[in-house]
Amino acid sequence: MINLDKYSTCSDEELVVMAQQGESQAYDMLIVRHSRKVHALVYQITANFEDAHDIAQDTFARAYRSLAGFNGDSAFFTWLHAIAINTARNHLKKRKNATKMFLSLDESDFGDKADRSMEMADDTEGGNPERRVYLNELQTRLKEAINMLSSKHREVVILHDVQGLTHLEISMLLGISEGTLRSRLHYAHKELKDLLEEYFE
Amino acid sequence: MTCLNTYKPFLGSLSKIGLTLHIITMNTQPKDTHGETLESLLASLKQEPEYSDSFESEFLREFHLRLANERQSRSFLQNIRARFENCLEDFRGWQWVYASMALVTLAAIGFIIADAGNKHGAYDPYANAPAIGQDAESIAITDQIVPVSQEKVVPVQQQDRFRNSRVEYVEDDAETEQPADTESQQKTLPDVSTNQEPAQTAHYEE
Repeated sequence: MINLDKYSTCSDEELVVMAQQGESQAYDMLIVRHSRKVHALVYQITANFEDAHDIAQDTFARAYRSLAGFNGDSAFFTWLHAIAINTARNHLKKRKNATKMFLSLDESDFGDKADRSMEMADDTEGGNPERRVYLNELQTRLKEAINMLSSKHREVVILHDVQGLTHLEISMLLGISEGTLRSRLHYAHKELKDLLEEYFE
Repeated sequence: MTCLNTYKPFLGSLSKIGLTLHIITMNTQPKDTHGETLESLLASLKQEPEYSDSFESEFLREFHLRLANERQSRSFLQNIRARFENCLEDFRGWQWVYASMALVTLAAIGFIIADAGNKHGAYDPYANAPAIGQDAESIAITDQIVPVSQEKVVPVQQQDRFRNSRVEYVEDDAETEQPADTESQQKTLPDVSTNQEPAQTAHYEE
């Protein structure tokens, strides 16, 4: 691996400037710094490790080609996130897999992992079998409900509630105002509550 | 809300150790329990793929391979076009002036070089002329075929006597009238031997 130690102390902004001036190793450092986060974000969207890997690679390639046009209005990572989300959207459109967009229920790896995490959480609480069955059922129902949301509502729910991004970050990523984001989140939550009403009662 | 975002990590750590906090929203009303349950359920859906320690280095290596493949798959012309477009993107104001001047200079140099290529030796005005004697016969034939006029010259003796020597140019189609005219001219000419003017005499006789 290339020795990137001399760039480790540089900030993203400094690395971007150096990369814009033709220092390609500075961009390598940016890749090392953000590849895992970008992959994790895209994985959340596609629910497929290999697809997420390809999309993350494509994201960095696109960012590299457009780096000259990056003027630093936003943070580099925000800009990279926006490219990753757009690339993932295009990827899913190409696959004509709109029903699988965000939290696919068909992907066994995601389902298993989620179930495993629920079971682990349940074990810590005493491992009540009835509760475990209830939680599994609730989670399955929740995934179905999320898939029933419109793509705009699904996006904001995933980014805010699942990924844990802040309002400001999401509004910058999606290019919408914070007011619009709050409104979308409100209606998405309301819709989810309606869909899961029997479980909540 | 900004304040809440600032303290969110802190609130998250508190919730981990079992403390329940009611987050106050902008409308200053506590969230309903259904909302909290929903949020915690949604948060539990977060999936963290398992990464190996060498994930970043492998990712970077693959990225370099990808870039190299892209460069190879591009044609020469595409590369030129890409470089040209990159150049144009960075152009500002005065650089256009220099670029246009450079283009004009290049064009002029090209023209000069191309023109000098035709002048290897000294200039020869006969370079494109036919060889001597080659077309002589055809030129002569051409002169005979296309006569422009027929020239008739009055005899020298008559010219001496009458200073008004006349040269007649007769059209080709009037050749039949020529003998008659000649005779009439000859009649009007004075008789040198008698030293008299026969025309006047004849006129008087008439």
